[in-house]
Amino acid sequence: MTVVTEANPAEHYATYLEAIRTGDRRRAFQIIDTARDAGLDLAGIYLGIFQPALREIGGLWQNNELTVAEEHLATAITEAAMARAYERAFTWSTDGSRTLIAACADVERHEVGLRMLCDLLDLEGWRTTYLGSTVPIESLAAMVLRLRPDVVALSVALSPHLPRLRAMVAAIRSTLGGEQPLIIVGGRPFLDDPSLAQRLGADLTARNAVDAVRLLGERVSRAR
Amino acid sequence: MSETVIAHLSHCFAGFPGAVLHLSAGGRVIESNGRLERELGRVLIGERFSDVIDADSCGDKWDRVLAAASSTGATSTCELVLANGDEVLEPRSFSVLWDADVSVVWLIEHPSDRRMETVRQQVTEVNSELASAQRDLVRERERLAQALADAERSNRALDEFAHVISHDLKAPLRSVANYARWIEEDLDGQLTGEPRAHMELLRTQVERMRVMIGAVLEYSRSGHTRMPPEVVDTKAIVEEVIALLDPPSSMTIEVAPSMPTFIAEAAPLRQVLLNLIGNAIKHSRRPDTHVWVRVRDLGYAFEFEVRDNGSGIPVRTQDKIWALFHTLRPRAASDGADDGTGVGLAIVRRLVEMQGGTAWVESEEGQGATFHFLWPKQTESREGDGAAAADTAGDV
Repeated sequence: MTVVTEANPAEHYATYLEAIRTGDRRRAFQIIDTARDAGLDLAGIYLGIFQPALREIGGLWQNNELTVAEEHLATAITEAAMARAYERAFTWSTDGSRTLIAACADVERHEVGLRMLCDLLDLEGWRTTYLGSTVPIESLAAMVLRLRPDVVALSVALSPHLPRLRAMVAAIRSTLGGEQPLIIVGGRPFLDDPSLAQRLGADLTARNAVDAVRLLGERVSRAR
Repeated sequence: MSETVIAHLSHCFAGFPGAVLHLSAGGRVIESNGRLERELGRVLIGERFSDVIDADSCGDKWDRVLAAASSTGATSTCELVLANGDEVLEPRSFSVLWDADVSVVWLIEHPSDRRMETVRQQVTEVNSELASAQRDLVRERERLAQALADAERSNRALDEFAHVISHDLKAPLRSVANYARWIEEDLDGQLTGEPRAHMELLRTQVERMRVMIGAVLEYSRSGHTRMPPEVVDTKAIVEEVIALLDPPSSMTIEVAPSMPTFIAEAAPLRQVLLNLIGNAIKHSRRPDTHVWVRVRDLGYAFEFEVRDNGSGIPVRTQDKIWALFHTLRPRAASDGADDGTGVGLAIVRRLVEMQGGTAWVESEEGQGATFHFLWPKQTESREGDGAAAADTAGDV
């Protein structure tokens, strides 16, 4: 029997949550640096620390223990912490042969999960373009037409924004005609009902960024 | 309460910039100042307040807050997301007050400051853009490091190639020269006319080739060994170079009175000055040649200048002169002068660029030429730079 000792994100999760809850940016960065030094990889940090911490922040708001302003600050700190962790983890391995464009369907809301997907794919050698949430549908379609990515990743956090996501999918489909990119969708509504993805015209969905990376790795071959 | 006070209070109730609602203990709207009705475009009186709350995000929260208000009687603050049909509105903050006397709940919206909302949105945007920019920087930095490593690798390979080729070419060339000499010796006196002229041309070409191979070797070796920087007195170096070149007495070489002393690698700097001043002397082709040497301190670098009053360089060839084997007067060895091998400027550029500097020329035909090069100053220890950058980049 082999005993594998793995760095455990749970050790850092609680302290990280406390740091972003109180808006302590420097402490948050420090905890992530420590986690990396302890041997945790980017996927471990993203799924083991950032994602549950932000979910918990959302839960605290629902319990009336946090204000929207505090929630925003916690998200902003996490975005910066992600960029920092990404910087430390990054090694140049892109062959540029697999490409992805990512955009959020929510208006003025940044989906951290989508950013996680882009970061993790970058480390796998993909070339990703993260557009955030302010991109108009026509610009997205034009960009997809110009860059011809293998994959378009769209996310939505709130159910009322599903029609916008449907419109994004439709715009891409009708603009591209013959050679369609793979469209992957994600976000809270798809966790509750994965079949929603197909109904909206997308090809696939994933429960989290790591699953999405695995799925896309299987579906999109390196050589084109 | 006097009627005046009541009138004032109801005026205040109606004019308050946020929604004010009066709910029953069960959460039905009894009274309203009309703000929320106008915003949602629907009647609320008689309705349950939970009907306009986004159930997904805060249905439970509202139930708990309402229950807590009527059981403990405490005043609390609560943020709620309202929904108007399918439309989900921005979260807003309410104060919840329990009036035990009449068993009602007052719900008072904290009027939001539009400007603060805008600022918050902008900050969110900027933060996200910064996070993207940070990634772009990381990727660009890695790409550059990669390109640099590639360039260094191919430079090294090229140097090795040049070295090997030059060495290997020398032996057969020596044989050709030997055979030619032996043929001439064997045909002692019998070689006349055209064959004799061809033989002479053969020897000239062999010699030319020998010089070129030597030049390739010299070029590939230049800057190969990096020496530790030392204190360099540029005036002394220039004087040393002039003494070495030993120009005819009819020429004037004027060195600026103030020449800097700084920390640099002495050998390549000396070589660059030797090649440039040597060129000025060699190519001037006039007895009253005048050469000026001066240095300007640009702060981050020293700009050296070697100017002459020679024949100048036509604009169309100014880019080409830096290439290996480019000489202004090709195959002009007949006048017997050392016309150079066309490697001097190539070496200048290479040595200067290895220091992180650049070299260029300004000239008009017939107006002389001015060669410039930048020699960057040695920077202080770079330790700590990285840490500082990482700290700023991580800021929210």
